[in-house]
Amino acid sequence: MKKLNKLFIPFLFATLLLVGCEKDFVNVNQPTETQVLTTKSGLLGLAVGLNAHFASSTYYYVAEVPGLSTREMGDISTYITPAELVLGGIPLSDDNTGVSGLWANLLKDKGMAENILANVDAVTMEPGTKSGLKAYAKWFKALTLGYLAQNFEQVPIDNQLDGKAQFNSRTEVLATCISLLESAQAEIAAQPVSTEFSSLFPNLDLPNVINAFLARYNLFAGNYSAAITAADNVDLTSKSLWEYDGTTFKNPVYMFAVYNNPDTKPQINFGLTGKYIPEQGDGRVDFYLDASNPIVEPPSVGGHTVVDLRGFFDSESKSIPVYLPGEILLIKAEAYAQSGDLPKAVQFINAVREKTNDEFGVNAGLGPWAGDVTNKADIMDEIFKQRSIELFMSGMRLEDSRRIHPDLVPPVEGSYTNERNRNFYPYPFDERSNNPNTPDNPSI
Amino acid sequence: MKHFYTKLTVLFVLILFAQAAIAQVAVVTGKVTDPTGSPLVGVSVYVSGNLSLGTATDVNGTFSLKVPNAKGEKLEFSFMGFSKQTVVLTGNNQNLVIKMAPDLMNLNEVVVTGTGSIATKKQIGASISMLNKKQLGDLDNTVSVGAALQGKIAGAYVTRNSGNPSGGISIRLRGASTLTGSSDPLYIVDGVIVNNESAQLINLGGYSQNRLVDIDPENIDHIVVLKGAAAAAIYGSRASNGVVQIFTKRGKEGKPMITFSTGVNVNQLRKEFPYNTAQLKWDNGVAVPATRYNYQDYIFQTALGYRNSINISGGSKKTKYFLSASQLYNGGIVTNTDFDRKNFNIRIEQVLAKWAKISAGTMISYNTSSDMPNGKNYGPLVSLLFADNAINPAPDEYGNYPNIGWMANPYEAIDKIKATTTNHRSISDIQIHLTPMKGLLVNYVLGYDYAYSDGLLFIPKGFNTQPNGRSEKNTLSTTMVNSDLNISYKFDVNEFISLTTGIGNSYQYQENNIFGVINDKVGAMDNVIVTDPASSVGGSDYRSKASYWGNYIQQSFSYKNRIFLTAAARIDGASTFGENERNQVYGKFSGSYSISDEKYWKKAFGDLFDYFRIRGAWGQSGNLTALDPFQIYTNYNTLNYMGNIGFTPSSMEGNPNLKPERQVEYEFGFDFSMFKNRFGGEFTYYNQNITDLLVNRALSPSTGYATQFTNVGTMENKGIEILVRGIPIQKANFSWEVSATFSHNKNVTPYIEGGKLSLGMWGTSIAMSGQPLGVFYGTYFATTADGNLLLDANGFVQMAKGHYEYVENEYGQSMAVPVQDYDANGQPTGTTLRKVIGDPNPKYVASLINTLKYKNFTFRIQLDMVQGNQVMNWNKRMGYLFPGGEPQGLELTGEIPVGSSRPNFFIFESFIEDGSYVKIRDIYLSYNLKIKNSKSFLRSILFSFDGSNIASFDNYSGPDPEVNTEGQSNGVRGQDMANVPIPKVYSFGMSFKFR
Repeated sequence: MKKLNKLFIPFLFATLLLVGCEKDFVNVNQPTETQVLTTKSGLLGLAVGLNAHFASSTYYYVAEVPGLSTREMGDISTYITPAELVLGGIPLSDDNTGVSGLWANLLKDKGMAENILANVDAVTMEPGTKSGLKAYAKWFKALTLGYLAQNFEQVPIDNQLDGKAQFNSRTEVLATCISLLESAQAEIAAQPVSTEFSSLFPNLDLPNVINAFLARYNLFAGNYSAAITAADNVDLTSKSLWEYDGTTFKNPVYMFAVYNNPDTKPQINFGLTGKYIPEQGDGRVDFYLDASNPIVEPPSVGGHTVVDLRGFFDSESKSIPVYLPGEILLIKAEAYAQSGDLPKAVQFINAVREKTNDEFGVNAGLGPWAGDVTNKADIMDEIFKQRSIELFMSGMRLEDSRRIHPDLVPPVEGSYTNERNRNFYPYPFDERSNNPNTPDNPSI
Repeated sequence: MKHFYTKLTVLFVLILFAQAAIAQVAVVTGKVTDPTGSPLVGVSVYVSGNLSLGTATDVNGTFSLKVPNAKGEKLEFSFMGFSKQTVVLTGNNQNLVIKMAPDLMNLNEVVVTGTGSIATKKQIGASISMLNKKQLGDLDNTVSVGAALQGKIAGAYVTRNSGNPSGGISIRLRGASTLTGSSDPLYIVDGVIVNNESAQLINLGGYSQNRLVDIDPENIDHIVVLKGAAAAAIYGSRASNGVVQIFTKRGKEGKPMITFSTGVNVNQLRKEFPYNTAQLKWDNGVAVPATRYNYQDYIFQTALGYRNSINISGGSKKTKYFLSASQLYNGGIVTNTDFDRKNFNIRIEQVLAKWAKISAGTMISYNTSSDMPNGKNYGPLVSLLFADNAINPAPDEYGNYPNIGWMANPYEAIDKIKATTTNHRSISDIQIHLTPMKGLLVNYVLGYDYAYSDGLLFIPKGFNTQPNGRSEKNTLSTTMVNSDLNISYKFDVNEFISLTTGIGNSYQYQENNIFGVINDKVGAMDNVIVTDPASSVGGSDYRSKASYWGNYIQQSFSYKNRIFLTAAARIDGASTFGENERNQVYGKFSGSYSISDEKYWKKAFGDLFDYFRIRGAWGQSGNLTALDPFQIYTNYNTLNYMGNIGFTPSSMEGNPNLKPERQVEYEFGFDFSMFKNRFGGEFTYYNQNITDLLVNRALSPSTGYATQFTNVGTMENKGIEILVRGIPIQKANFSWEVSATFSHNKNVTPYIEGGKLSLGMWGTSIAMSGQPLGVFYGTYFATTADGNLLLDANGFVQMAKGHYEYVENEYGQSMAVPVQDYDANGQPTGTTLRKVIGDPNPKYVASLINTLKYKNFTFRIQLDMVQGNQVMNWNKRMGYLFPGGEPQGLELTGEIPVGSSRPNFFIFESFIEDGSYVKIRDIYLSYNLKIKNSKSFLRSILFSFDGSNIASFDNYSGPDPEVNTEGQSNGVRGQDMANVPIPKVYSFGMSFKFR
């Protein structure tokens, strides 16, 4: 036994020392949530990350999903996701990856914006940086809520980590969007944004985008005079961009509609038919589309004719406008029309039709509208047509069609030709199976 | 201290002059033979309890040993495959004749259970499978360890996932046991926990090697497989999927023995993929003559391989060594793929004292595989599925390959793509074995395993589908260190009862480093393939560390060497779990009872049974390796967006309260041997329950996250495993041995949070409450109310449509049940329906091995059978739609109606196929030429011929139903898409023994 003690025990200790017994290891690859949410550099980084994620990932779904349901895009593949979207109706399943991607990505971005808002007050930083961060996060939360409301009948205003978020009506959601934007405006009015913050987003004109989105959501909410006021405050020469470096961050519309034999491509004439077909000489046709190589889809996916995409989407590094000046003009046209001021409405329609000096080059270059300037329904149809062309591939057409043509009922069996094949999308399977507060799906 | 040195000096003197210094020496000589009288070479002969006193039999089966104070000492004879024999010495010079009895069921083999107390299989209640060299078969002509195990272990389902020359292998012992980690067993080589990663360093479409391929099977001496939690409890929670212990060859006392082995082999495609052979094509709806090319003529080749190895073993009574070097080259059946491996092994054992022995070894492997991307993404076989084979893909006179569409030109891919993985591996160990006093055993193992893999991909500029070219370099280095200390003390209370107490500590440290660079604009020079870091467009740098630890105490009780009871408790922990949950306590209990030793049994059966024992075990285990490091946190990804650093949360929400999965298993069974060791068997029933299953569950997206690991799920495995061995004929010149295994396992995941979880392959492999792991899920045929196919106006099949009804299962989950709806015309209407359409898990797996020996000839044939499983054949699916498919040809020739194939493409049920097979896994014939002249340096030459995978009896339309496109994936099994089929291999080898 002595032999054991003398020989073995030292040996045992020696080997244990050799190996050590470390049990805690630091993650050298990624910051933890606590680090991000409790430091200034963490929150500013989160703001940058939010912009990057929305621009490169979320915008993919924002543009493609309603684009397929409203004829902007045609499907040339055999994949189930675009095939279901281009048909719509009841056959569109609740686990369609397009619809669930749209839902999940917007909610993820909204969660990031909410995390900034929930933690920014506890972190010490320069007042101008704080006001910028708050205004930015409020605008972003409004933006994500807005895109959600454009596609889904009800939306949770606040994310919930326990998985049981409450859903709110469209009216409540739009009211929240507006109040968030007004509060964002108040933040930067009270405390001008610091260079430290604004230098993070050199191509984002925060005061202008807040006004532009205020105009947009006031229009959706039916607050026409507020919409006009906000639109009046937008500087039409200001440019705000979603940006792409072309390597890590690629233009998402380019990726799904141009790059490498895509599944989906724009339909000829922007997918418009009948009286909405673009007029001869409309400069926006060649701006957005290249019809030199039309392809006719197989009948099983709609039999549409598809063409090549240009505009803001023909390279992996092209920037996409956050909003277009033409939208501001058309918001005014529609708000005046809805308020009964038809001549003013026509004036702004013509401002879009005759535009040759657009900051982004979206120039119709047409003459004034030749329709019946006293017929509100015709004016509204013309606004729909102008919006469909001017705002091509910006994810607006489902909202526009539903707002301007509320009486159109998409057929339940689906349709390849209707102006829209759904009013709202079904709530994704993952939400329904995990959140007991998920409302019933819309009937169509 | 002074005293200590004195003792040490004495010790050294004793070691050096042991024989000379001691008087009263008895010379024991003898001969050891098998039951037929043939001499057994290399039988170890040693004095019980004295490590320094022993020898081994020579080529004639004889031995000579000088034993001091011999009277009453026990001389033990042991040899793999035979029962141990003990002779009590008289103290005088003796000449012994020992006839060893075969140990058909390896019942008396020593197994290392991790307790330090070396137990025989007889003493252990849990089921243990042993394979000695003979039972492992022809290792010389086997590329990897996994392949050597196929068909030989009851309760194991071994699948070769790919036919690539270094293709990966999956082993499931008693079914899958996790959703998150791997269900492959823990591999231990000479006491070192070794890394068996299946990293896909470059995108090869799902295919990957596993690191076990670094080990040269020629160096394996024997393998012990521990199945289930009861066995695993003694290895700790690293071993919840069972343990495969590999023991490499060791030196034996005597003159140096040199073995030189060489061999060649031929690999061939056994069966082609079906394709469009109609010499027609469509022209405005009319079939017009066209040339249809068989792309497979170019993609596949008959490939050669060769191998050479040399080993030297020998030693004195105190020092033994084994050295080997080997080289293997194996060509792949896909043109321009191959595998080249070089191995070096050293093992040295030194007896330090009567009570101390040290053993050290190292294995070095350097190997390179050249692969071709295939499977899910791109590559020559993928093109086969989508291309119109009326196009000639051969390059034109200027060397330009025609663009055949969005898929790669298969000829161009074969000629131009370079995808190689180079691996550097070293596994080293130092083991110390001490018996400082009677009954006390101390074992310590320090193991070190380092693997560095370097994956390269190069696609030159000008490649049709990658015009700018691409180059990638991704590296993974893995370092694993393990330290295992085991101490046991055996105490004989009286002549009937003995007690053994064991304690132990183990610690394992693992470090992974991933680094990669990607370049998507490269040059056109085929030889300049480096990835220029300065112009990289992406890459990765990821570093992680983890540790696992455990302590145990075990108490065994044996009565009359026939009743054995063992109880143990362990505390195991892993750094990857939350601080509060990481240490868990696990218990185990087992017992075995040799009834055949009882008087009443002997009275009833006489000599009919050599033995009969019953056994049972209950054990708990965790699964410490399921989580990767840092998965308990919500981690943010760092990105560089337009020059600013940003953070985005990963889509997985952290969960600091995660705890290891808990597995409880009980098993019982019996082992027997009868007719004087001519017939024996093992039967085991097991029942495994896994709770707190780690599920990366879907979250409602309104949380802001997509998934979260949660301990919400259960899994069960129930099954039986049977092993039967028999020797119907055993004569001096002729023998016939039969060995058969049968395994049945029923896996189910009764409860999965969320009801359904996608595991991969575009959501077609899923886990679902109440279903086996990895069932196939998808669209299915519309049927009428009475179950017949519901055809459309053209008489074509169509997809089932309707709605889902929600039915609550026993866990209160509402599960969607599809219900078909019909419109006024009786045609399907509503949303597209999906359901479980197939199951990749076999109902049973069985094997039959017959070995016939006539004089120096050996003939062996192994049949493997897998029954009742399904395969999802994506190759078949693509053929329904794309012009190169076989059905497209049948439409062209008018054998089936035009347009009748297309609807099948959208109906996933249409390409679910029966994956059952019976295979001739192996046919082996050898002749051992023994040199009669005992003075000759050359002792023997073994000539062997081996045919592997030469025929399969199945109903599968593709080349081979034994397949998996997602490689060693845990949950995605039985998927076939553009996967390289397992080749048939003919090998010829020669092995020369010199002494």
